[in-house]
Amino acid sequence: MSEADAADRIFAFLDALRDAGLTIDIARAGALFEATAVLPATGLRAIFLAGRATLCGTPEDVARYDACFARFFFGDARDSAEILPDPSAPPMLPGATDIRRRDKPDEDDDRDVEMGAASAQEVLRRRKLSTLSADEKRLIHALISGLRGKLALTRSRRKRTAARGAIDVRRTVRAAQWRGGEPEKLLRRLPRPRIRKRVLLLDISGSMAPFAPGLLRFGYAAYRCAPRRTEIFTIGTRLTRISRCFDTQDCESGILAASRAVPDWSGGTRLGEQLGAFLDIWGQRGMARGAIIVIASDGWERGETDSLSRQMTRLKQLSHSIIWANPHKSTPGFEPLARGMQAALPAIDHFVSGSSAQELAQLIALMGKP
Amino acid sequence: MSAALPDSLEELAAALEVAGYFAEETVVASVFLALAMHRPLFCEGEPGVGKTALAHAVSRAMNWPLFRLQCYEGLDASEALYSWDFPRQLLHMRVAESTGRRDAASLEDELYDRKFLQPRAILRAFETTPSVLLIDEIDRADDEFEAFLLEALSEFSVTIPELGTIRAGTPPFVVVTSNRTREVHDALKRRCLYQWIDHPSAARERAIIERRFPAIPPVLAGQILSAVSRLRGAGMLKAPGVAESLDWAESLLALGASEISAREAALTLGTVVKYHEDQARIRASKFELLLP
Repeated sequence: MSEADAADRIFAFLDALRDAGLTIDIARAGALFEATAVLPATGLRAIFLAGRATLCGTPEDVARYDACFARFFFGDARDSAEILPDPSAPPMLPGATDIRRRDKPDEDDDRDVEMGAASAQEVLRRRKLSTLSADEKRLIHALISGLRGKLALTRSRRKRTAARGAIDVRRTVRAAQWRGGEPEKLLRRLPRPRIRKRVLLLDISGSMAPFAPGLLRFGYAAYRCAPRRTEIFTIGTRLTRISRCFDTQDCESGILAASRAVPDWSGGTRLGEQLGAFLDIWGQRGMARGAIIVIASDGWERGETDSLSRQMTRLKQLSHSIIWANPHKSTPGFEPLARGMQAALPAIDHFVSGSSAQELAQLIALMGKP
Repeated sequence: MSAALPDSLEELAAALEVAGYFAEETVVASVFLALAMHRPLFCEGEPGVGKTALAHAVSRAMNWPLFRLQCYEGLDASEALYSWDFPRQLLHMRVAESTGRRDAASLEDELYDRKFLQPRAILRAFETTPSVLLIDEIDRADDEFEAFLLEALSEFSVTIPELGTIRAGTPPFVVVTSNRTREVHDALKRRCLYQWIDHPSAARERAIIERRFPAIPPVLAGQILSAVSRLRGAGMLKAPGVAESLDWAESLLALGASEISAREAALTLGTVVKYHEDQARIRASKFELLLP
């Protein structure tokens, strides 16, 4: 193979990696060529090692890279179904994580009556929300300003200048230098307040389908008023992180991007399992620590609820407070009968509905409680 | 001290092994590339798989001094780069005053002399070449700090308004570690080479344990390895890393155990399983997961 052929082959490999969902810009591609040149290895081994170090950015990237390399250079098609997304479907977002796909045999048929649409059978359905009307956009902006006025604060480790508090030695001495070394005034500082972290877990399973568009809009509004302190996930049969989709000022494109990123619209619910996945991958490492957790779900859980109550206990121990919004709560005569709901109740700090304007205001106020 | 690169990956791997670090080939390649391309190495992985240890091992293998910056919330440039020694400057002014000096201009120049500068980890690593710079747990720092770091690490220079620019002769070998408590910004990751460090294979972990505790009975080492691998597959809240395996081996050796029995497992449980829920689960199953 001539050098030009080899370069062509690498470019084709880069395209295959992009198809597999890696983000490879010109700088990363350049780094790959530089790395293959300096690495004391030859042939495919050099490309493999250099590419792994220069083209990946997350552990998910590493897994995709390994599989794509095997397929591209050795025609190993074992994992192709997992790596190559359905060409008609938009690619998964970087950072959106698929968790433990498990297909349980469908036993306990009688329970299906009680559980309604909460089926463990995985229904992977992508959904496009229709475009937003002017009224809906106004509503979202009203939500954003409502939420912005009610952000819970906590003390950060950073300090700010204040009239009282501990003496700020550095600034006092600095000021003294300009007065012949005479510290004529003691300057002080206090911890600077910062916005408390918030995590929203939105149930978008079949039984919650009527509320899903509203949930995404609420998620968008919550994210926009404190982008660095807010994380949004959807839970159904899988856990998907959609925070990054909302990194846009345009609510329509943000919500559209999120609806594309979610692979399991209106499918079943595995609340306990997905909550566990959230805690394992994100929550326990820090995202849930000291955070306000908002779970929007009707609590319809298929199968055992032991797992859900165990994960709720874990979540309670890590978080600052847990707010559960169940849209059915405002229905007259509502009792939290769904077995998942019962299992979760002991760990919940605030149980709200959030389905009417007044109840939404209550939810927003709770999210702003220090 | 020399800045000469190893000739081959095998040579580098051997040098790291002598330093007590048994690395997968992909890790060795990333270290080599980071050295050759003068790029920071961004390491992610579960707690306890040896991200920080990698920086220490490179420092020992290359015989370069190590400078460590532990990140935390609120960390700012004055703690990462340099600060001025204000009390000493003040003292200097007082002394000048008492000896009756009145030439303000030269006095002010003296105040910002090199001797009043307190270099911190990053600046010290730039001034000492070659060196290893470990920026530990970047995910604990605020994201504004990343932007600042990006600037320092792409130029390998620090500008001090009063003194001028200090540039690193040979750029230091930089290791940035993260536990993924939050996503680090793409801009920083793109400057770096990326390395995901996994739990080591059984053979490699055995080598690590035997290196640290040469006197360990082979039976005991084998039992530790199989128990740890069972724990990793059992869906614990916190799966034990290499660090936990080493702690466990050390405590078993301290007890004089030659193999793991229920008694030893009960006594040393806290060194390998660190969550109450996990411990309760193991106790409830009569230490089944830990016993050979």
